[in-house]
Amino acid sequence: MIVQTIGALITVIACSVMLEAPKKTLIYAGLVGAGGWLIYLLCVETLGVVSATFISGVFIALFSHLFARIFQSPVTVFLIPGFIPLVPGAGMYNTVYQFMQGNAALSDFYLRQTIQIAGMIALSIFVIDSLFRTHSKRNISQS
Amino acid sequence: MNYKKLMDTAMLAGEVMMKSGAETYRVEDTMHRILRSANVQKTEAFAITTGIFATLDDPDIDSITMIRRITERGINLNNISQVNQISRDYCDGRLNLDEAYDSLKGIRQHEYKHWFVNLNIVLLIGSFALVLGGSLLDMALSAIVGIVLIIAMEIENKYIFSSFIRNVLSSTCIAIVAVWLHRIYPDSHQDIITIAGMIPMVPGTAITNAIRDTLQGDYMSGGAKALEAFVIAASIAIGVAFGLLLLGGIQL
Repeated sequence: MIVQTIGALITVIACSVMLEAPKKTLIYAGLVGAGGWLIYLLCVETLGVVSATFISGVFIALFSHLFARIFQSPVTVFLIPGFIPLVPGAGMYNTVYQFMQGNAALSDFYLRQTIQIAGMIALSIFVIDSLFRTHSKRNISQS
Repeated sequence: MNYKKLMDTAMLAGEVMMKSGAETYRVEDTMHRILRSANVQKTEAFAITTGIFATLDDPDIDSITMIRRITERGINLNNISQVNQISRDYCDGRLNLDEAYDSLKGIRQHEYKHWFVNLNIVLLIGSFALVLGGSLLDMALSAIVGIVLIIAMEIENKYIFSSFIRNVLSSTCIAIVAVWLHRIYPDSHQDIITIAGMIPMVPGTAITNAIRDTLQGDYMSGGAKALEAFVIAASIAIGVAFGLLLLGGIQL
């Protein structure tokens, strides 16, 4: 589990470099991603893949927004690299692989799981974005 | 106030952001903030993935409208961040209009050297094998896949212009190399190596931006990006399937 979390840290930082993120926030983006993956690993045994993705996604989106406010940079800088470990690449691969093997039922299962994971990523970003949007609107009307 | 220059500044900010892969609402918001500093009666900013439009109108002046077509799109988070900072500084009065325009002109460059980005793609693929629970052997083999992927992408970038075909070919290469390496080292996991190899192409940015644009009510941009994510996913799937078939990794 520790190895996987360190792997996630390196993954997210390397992905940030690939997407040309600013240098000063690299390490924080890595921390967001690694923390999210740690939470995913802790939850996945008991809750299953889909719920674990949601909880981890909420964590990543929440900390992306917090760090974006602390470092005064766009949320995207943390959000896009942070979600990379959660993106259902494995689901996509398994769908294709089982389809080619002729296991239609398993292929269907993985396809449904892939779509559910993508939906959970969407839902977690929705939830946290709406939370911060109402919050910042109130701030504007007060000032 | 030089309205023409203000317009140019807002359009330039929008253009750089759009080309760097920012969310639509953020582009509109940034342009609108810059335009509002003129204190004229009517300012509008409108952005979709393929173009940006802005208008400035007041009883005292002739109204100005500008359109700019966006043809090339990539991802450069640093540019988004810098435009954000410049527009913040300008709106708070720390920069005047000419300084803001000049600094916007100066930011269209790459943050990292080309070889360093490539090195990080190899690192990304290698470490993602660990994330998926792979062994050190899987990590090393994934890094080899990463090197092959980079060579393939360099060649494709020179000769092939359709990004769909590029993705199909890249993922075919990945699947072939992964199956081949798995045959040499039977202890390794073929699925982990292939999935790790796919990760630089997986449409993470498209998914995230599609969600955020849709939430803001930009259904056109959100829908377009969701479709983009599906097309990328399909191209990777086709490529992997083709690669597995070619090497007989699967008996049909």
